[in-house]
Amino acid sequence: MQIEMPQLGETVAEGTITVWHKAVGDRVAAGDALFDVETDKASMEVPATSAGILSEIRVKAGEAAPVGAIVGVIAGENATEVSAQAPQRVASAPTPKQAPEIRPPTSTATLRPARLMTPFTEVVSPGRDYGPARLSNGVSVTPYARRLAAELNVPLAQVKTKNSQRITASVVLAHPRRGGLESVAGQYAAGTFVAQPVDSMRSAIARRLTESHTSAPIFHLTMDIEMTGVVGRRAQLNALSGESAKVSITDMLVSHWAAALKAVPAANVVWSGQEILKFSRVDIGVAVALDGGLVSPVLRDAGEMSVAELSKALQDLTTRARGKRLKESELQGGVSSVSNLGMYGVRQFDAIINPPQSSILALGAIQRRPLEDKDGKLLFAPILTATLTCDHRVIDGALGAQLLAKLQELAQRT
Amino acid sequence: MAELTYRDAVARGIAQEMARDPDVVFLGEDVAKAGGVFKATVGLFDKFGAKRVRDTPISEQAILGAAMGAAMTGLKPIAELMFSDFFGVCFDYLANEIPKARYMTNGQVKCPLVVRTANGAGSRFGAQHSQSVENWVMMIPGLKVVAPSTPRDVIGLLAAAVRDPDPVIFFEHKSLYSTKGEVPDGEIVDTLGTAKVLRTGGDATIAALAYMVPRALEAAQQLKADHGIDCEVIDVRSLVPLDTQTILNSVGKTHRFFTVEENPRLCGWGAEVVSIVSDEAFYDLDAPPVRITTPHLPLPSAANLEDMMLPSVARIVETVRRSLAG
Amino acid sequence: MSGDTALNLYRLQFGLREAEQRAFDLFLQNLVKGTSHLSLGQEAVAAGFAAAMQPGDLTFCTYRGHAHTLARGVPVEKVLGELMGRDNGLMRGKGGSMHLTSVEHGVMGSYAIVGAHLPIACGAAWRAQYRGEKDVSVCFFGDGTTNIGAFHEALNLAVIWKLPVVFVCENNLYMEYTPIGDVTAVKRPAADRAGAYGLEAIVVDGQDADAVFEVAKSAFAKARAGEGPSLIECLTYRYSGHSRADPAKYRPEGELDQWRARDPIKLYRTRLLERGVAESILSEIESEIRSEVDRATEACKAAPISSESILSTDVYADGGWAWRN
Repeated sequence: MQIEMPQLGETVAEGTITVWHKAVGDRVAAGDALFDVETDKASMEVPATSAGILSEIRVKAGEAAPVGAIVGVIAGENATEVSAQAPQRVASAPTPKQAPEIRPPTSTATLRPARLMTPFTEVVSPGRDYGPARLSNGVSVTPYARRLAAELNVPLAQVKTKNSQRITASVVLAHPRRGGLESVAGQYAAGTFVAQPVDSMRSAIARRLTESHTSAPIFHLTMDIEMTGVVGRRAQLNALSGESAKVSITDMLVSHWAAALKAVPAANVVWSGQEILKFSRVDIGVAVALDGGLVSPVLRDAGEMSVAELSKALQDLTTRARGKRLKESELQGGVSSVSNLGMYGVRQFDAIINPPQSSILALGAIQRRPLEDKDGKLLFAPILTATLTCDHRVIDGALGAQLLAKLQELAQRT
Repeated sequence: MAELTYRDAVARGIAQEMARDPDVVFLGEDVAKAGGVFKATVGLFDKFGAKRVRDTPISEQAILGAAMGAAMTGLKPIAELMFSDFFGVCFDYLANEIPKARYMTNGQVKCPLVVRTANGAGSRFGAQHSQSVENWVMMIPGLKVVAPSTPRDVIGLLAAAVRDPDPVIFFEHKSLYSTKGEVPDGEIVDTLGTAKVLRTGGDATIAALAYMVPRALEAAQQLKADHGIDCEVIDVRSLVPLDTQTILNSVGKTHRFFTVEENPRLCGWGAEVVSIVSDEAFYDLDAPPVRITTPHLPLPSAANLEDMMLPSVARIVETVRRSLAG
Repeated sequence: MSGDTALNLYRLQFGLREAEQRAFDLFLQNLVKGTSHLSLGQEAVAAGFAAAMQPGDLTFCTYRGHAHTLARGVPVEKVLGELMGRDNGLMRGKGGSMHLTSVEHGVMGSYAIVGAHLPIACGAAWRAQYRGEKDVSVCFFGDGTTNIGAFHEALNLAVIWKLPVVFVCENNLYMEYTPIGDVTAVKRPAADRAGAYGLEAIVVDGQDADAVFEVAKSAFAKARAGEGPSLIECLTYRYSGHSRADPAKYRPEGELDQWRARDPIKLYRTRLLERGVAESILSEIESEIRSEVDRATEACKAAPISSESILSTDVYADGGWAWRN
């Protein structure tokens, strides 16, 4: 039976197999871990759904394949009387020959990497799809032109041709490109750097945040929050709970942020191009730093959780994020996110919105700063600078200010 | 270095191998005393004698069957089939016996033999003696197939074929027999499964075989001189094993692919090559790959009619020019 | 004939019968798939020639080749295993019933295309002649083969080149489903063609292993002496149909019984007893053979099916299948 690349998430078209847990020839029971697959956002373990012998691996560790592609074959036990009489013992015949690796003849160029060919992969289609042959405006594009457009960052939809003629490579090459295109590596002296491959998480971060940064018109609002109340309430909660899992400052502020969005429902929206999507419940993403990257798992219905519940949920998401065991669905959606760099001593920063959300709250470090009280006296208080980045297409200045002010109000109550 | 005709190169190649290895024997119709109907094996009988160079009756099945039996039991026979059209008379050995023996017997039986044959049109021999049939054997798993276009390649690829432990079908083109080419002195051994880039260029890749190679080269020259189109010309030389890497690399550079094939249109050798290019090099193509072939008709005998059929230099030039213009 | 040779002939025939009968039974149990062409009743021909062959002599036979393969000493287990598509088969399951080959035992192939192996046997004989080697190529085929082109090309070539090859026609009266007399211009399909190639017409009672043995010996001696090929017609009969699919209803009433009355093994057994060989010796041979066939059967039933790892091996000499780089 053929092993397929499983469905990896609604927007994910392909995954990379990171490791095979079984080798060709191994016996496999239903439920055994077969291989791990990684996408932009998450890594998942794929179990075998039937028993047999893993007879073929078609997509090796390190290789990518689209959803639905055959990645391997499990030779099942036949249901005929022949195999009923064939026991499980291994043949004592001479070592079976493996199909030998194809070696290119010596006199040809070796621009293409040699690969191990199997009888069922005699001709291998390109691994990457560079888009449709016909654009939505009806113009057709040659395959090479499509590839060039992707590599040179030329927006095909904007390419003009005479009488809607086919877009060929020369047309793409003549078109101005988005973003600078000289080779970056070429601007540095050889030998002074090491080029590391970009993994799928890094690639996703680059792509999504570039898109966010270049497409959403944003503005920033900064407000200082007097944190005595938050610090005090937190200490109380942790004293009361007595559990080893403590509530953090971030947990407190995320909880307040959820309450603020609940109180200002006009800001609990996202821009979808043709429409504005309004949400009744509050889903908040929380930025989690990982080794080599960053993900923002989404807390569902944060507006209805107690701080303790929220803390626990966030703890679980964080642990699983660090173990690359998040489900695809846990990374999707949300209206707003919270990012806290205070633990590093950062006083203030402007975060970039996670598309398609409409805002992101950046929290700085709690610092003791001087302030004048209502009686004109100078005192020191724990102050945190919060900066809200808003997508102006759907959150205007006053609305954003209102939302941020609500957070300040909720946080500062005693 | 010497200038040698293609036909003399055949005799030289066979002689080179027979001199080197006493197990190499040669059989065919009129090959020994008469030196072959195309005079491609003149001198071998005198040099190697009646035991090693044998005239056979008109018995194509016996010629191939005997070659197979001798190869299975230790000799390295070269068998001649006078015209490649005669494959039809002994096709059982090409399709069922020789290519499958090793596989069916799980590696016990070997067939280190070479079948040489005169292939192709241009000599006004009519429909049953002019066909280009490399594709008839290309499609059978278990064989190797080569078709040299120059005297030097004749010797080098024939030597490689004789030394190859697998059965090799060696297509000489009857209309190339009197062409001449430079051939170095001494032993010449080439490698099966290798194509040759005869002319480099960046605008289009033209892959051709045997008699079509000189035409492709001339067309490339005209395309450059008259239309400023710079073509890369590849002599495919070996259909099985097929040097896909050379072809794919070239298409990666030029983004346009043409084949020039003498076989009639349907299922010619270029159909498989274009299929591979369209698949693996899909995103290198800036235009559909085009096959320039003989039409799917039997070959006529009259000189002017036969000449119309095979891809001419003019037809190659016009096809490439038109494709690049539009 | 020495006593040893006679006993050997009996052993051979009995073994061929038991093995072939077992193949038939396994077939009915659906453990042998595809098709199978049985030579029940024709054992004396295979045994007689095999006993006269020397090590180094080469056998070329048709798809009705189980007996010829076994007669050269290939173990029963390997043959049954191949028929059953098991990994312990003679070709590990890649060839099947119609292509049994054991180069090690001189069985240079069983050939499924009628007549194909006659020129091939000529080639093997040519090699012997060329190198001055003394082995003989022995080529077995049926009466139907005498009408195909390759038969005529091979005989002609063998005669003009004086090749050390012996052509043995097992005339079992039926081409496939058609009586040979209906489709052949001459009465004796092989013997009456011999003269067309300048050969002696030789006909032998194919049910008499001793007669076959003697004819074989003299043909081999002729070949080894460099005096060229022989064409021998053996009159014999097959008890089963052409292949599994054939119930052989085309046979006239009583014909099968007539031939069973001249069963080669029964005949030979009687002859040995008449010559004074002890019953106990014969019974011992028989029970030994039966045990071996039973043991081989069980071993094959227990063996794994053909390994997927050999699917693409040995197309070419390097062990692989690569047609491209």
